[in-house]
Amino acid sequence: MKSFDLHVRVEITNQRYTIIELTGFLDAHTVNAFENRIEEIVSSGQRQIVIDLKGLNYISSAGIGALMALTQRLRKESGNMVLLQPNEKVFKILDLLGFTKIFNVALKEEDVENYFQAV
Amino acid sequence: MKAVGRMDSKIENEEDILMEIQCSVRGEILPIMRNFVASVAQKMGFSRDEISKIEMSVDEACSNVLRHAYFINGASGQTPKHQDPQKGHMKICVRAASDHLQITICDKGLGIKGKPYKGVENIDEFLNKCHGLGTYIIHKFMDKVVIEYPEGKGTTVSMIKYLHSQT
Repeated sequence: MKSFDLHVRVEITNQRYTIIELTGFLDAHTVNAFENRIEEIVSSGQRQIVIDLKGLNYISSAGIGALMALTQRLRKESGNMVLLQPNEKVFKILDLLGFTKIFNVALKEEDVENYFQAV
Repeated sequence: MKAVGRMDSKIENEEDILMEIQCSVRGEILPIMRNFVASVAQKMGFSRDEISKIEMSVDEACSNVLRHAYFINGASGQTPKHQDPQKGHMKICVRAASDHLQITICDKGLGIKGKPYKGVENIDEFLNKCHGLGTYIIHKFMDKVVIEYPEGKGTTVSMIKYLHSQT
């Protein structure tokens, strides 16, 4: 059932932050793959991370929990995480639950720079 | 947190549409169940936002079955050592009534020992505990939720969303 997978693509666009592009679903089934990939990235020394959510169609509590754990870890290690351009559905869920006030959410790509400049 | 009471699932209107799916407890079924309930909700006339809430609530209930129902070494699921994938089945029953959608998810797993697990009360509590968000979401997004968990006889989660709900 490949069509139900989560696809994770990592791109280092500049020296300040790493972009992790998520496509598909981040739910209880796919969250382990995401967490494993994140562990590799953070263990390699990356502390400034952008999670590109443009291609993410669904997020569950498991996915939100994984993003929260990453945020808390990075903040403890003087890092930062920004969620980039969640689609309307994912943004609405995050907003209804109050997570748009907890996560750094950039609705435009230009806004990402502001978050890292401010750090 | 909404009051948890008994849900009367016996009274059926002749015009209600009933659907039932029995499936293996596997992660791959989560998007299938989400799509299924979203399709029914869309046909009933729920708004896009309401459909998202229903879809997520069903996903959270199914995810709980996936993580907790069939662990051999206890139902808490905190540190499971073994899981028996052959044993796990769950059933999803959907009733589309004129003014509401009722979804019941049941398994034949280990049930819940002790007091009912209600999840966290708010997001601040989740930020401290880092678990319990799924059950919180079900209660927040649905109009009525009943969780029954006779020990050793599985767990049944019934939830209702009314058309034109204010939740």
